[in-house]
Amino acid sequence: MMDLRARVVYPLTALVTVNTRMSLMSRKVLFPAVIVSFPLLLVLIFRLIFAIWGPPSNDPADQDPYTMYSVLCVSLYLQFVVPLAALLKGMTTFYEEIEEGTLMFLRLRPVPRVLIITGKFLAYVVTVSLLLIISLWSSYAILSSIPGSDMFWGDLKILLKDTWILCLGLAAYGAVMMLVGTYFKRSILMGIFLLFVWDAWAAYIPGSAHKFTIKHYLQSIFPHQRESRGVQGIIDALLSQNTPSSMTVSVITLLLVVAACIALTTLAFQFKDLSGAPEGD
Amino acid sequence: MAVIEIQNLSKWYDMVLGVSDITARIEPGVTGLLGPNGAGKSTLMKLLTGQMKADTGHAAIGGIPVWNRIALYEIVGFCPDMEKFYERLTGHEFLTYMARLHGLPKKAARETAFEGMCRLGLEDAVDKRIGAYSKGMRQRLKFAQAILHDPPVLLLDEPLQGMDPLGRMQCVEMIREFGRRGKTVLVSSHILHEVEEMTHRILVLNHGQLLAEGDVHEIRELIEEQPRHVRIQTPKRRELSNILVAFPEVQTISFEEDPEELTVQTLSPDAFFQRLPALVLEQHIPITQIATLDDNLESVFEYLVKP
Repeated sequence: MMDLRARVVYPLTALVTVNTRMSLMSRKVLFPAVIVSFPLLLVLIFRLIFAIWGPPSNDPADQDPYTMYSVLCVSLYLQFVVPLAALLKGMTTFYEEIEEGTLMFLRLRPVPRVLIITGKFLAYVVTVSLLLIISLWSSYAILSSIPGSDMFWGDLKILLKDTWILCLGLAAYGAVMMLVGTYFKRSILMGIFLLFVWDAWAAYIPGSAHKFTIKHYLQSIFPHQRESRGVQGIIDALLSQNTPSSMTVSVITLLLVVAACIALTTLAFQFKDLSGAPEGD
Repeated sequence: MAVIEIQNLSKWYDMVLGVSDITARIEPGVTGLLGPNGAGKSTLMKLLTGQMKADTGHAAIGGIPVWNRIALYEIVGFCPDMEKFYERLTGHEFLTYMARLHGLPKKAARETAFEGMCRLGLEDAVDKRIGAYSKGMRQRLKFAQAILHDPPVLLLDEPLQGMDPLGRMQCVEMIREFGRRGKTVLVSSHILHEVEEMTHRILVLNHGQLLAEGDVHEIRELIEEQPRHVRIQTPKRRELSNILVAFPEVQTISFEEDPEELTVQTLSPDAFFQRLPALVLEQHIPITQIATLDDNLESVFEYLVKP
């Protein structure tokens, strides 16, 4: 028992806590924080307008706080904030240790490589999830404060479900980005392609291509669904492959993606020569 | 019995040679790894700590192959020759982090880290961010993280570089003490007298190859047998050379492009320098500058590699 604690628990706890702290103290967290705060900013502006000038539209459907929250979750948090935050922060999860030359301090400790990658990955998930939770919950609370809304207590369960699904999304996208950041030289381009080209458009490819996207599994379990109107609605209905997967399949698939990416990043750490030529010699 | 065994170890960076066909056996005690900048010392250190995979050959520490074995890091402590740190952590937080990675619970790790800082004279910088540390303090911290888990084998890559005199003295004494306690210490440097302060056993490395292995005094004698070059600047170059030709310790005299400069090659620099001031006074030959050209280690290595 003592051996397991010394070999796994203490090093893993240290990796997660120290790296989370370092991430939150780093200036590099500012950009992801701005991205994650963007929906909150929109909600704040909307609430201010509502407080000063009253409802912006006469259509009661447009003023329903829950509908607004739903649109915010699907259109901004799920499709924009989560992938972009993963791209910005997840990609550097492991690579920053190589870039900043500090990898050696981790490499020279008797800690299994998979534990180091897992620890750093969990620190990324905790850091970005914290930012996301602050933004999402604040948006929810602000929208709940609109007069006549009974959303705060009534839809709390939905908020909690949104939270864990979005955090799972951050984990899945982040794991893929960590892998891309470790293996590819032009990782940012590769990341943009995977997140905003492949993940966004694979559903329009006939066949089962959509099942090779993270978006498909996240949307399958997300409580809010995007409603396409007009021409977009017709295109979606005709071309998009959108048969949702079950909750179990989706969650297991996303967790498997995370596990596979951690395993492959560990392989790079273990067998790839990441040290480069010495500076001084 | 050898603790570090190196057999035909080679490493290339594309077309550039890192180290070539190195074979050595290092026993307990302190061993110096001496070589000029670019000799391959850091490459050898990286290979021995498993940070880099050798292209050919094999190395083991305490019987454990060095590539891809985490058990190695239970017995090895490494002080790298680089300046990278987690700048936002304090020195104490950094050492605590490292101690926890060695499997210590938080409280014990904090205590070990504090002891490590005190041992290296960093007790006043416990709560200071590493980003605000001086070069000497960073060097001490690197040393502290290497000895934190009290490993039986220490690999120290230029550990005294950038250290203040007091820090150097403490570290030299610590390294000697490690040797006396039976630890195996391999310490690299490009400064001969620095290595001599710590040990008499050395490996000499240049251009990635092991040139010599043995007692530092033997190497010194070898160096002293080599001719030295002295460059002299005088407005009376021709007169001076006529006199110097008669000196038995002078081997050759050559004129430089500068009309006021000549270079003397001598086998006995001490005797030459004893005789020169008297000559200047007796013959009224003004000398504006004297420079010995061979005091740096690189020229010593050049002598060693000459066939």
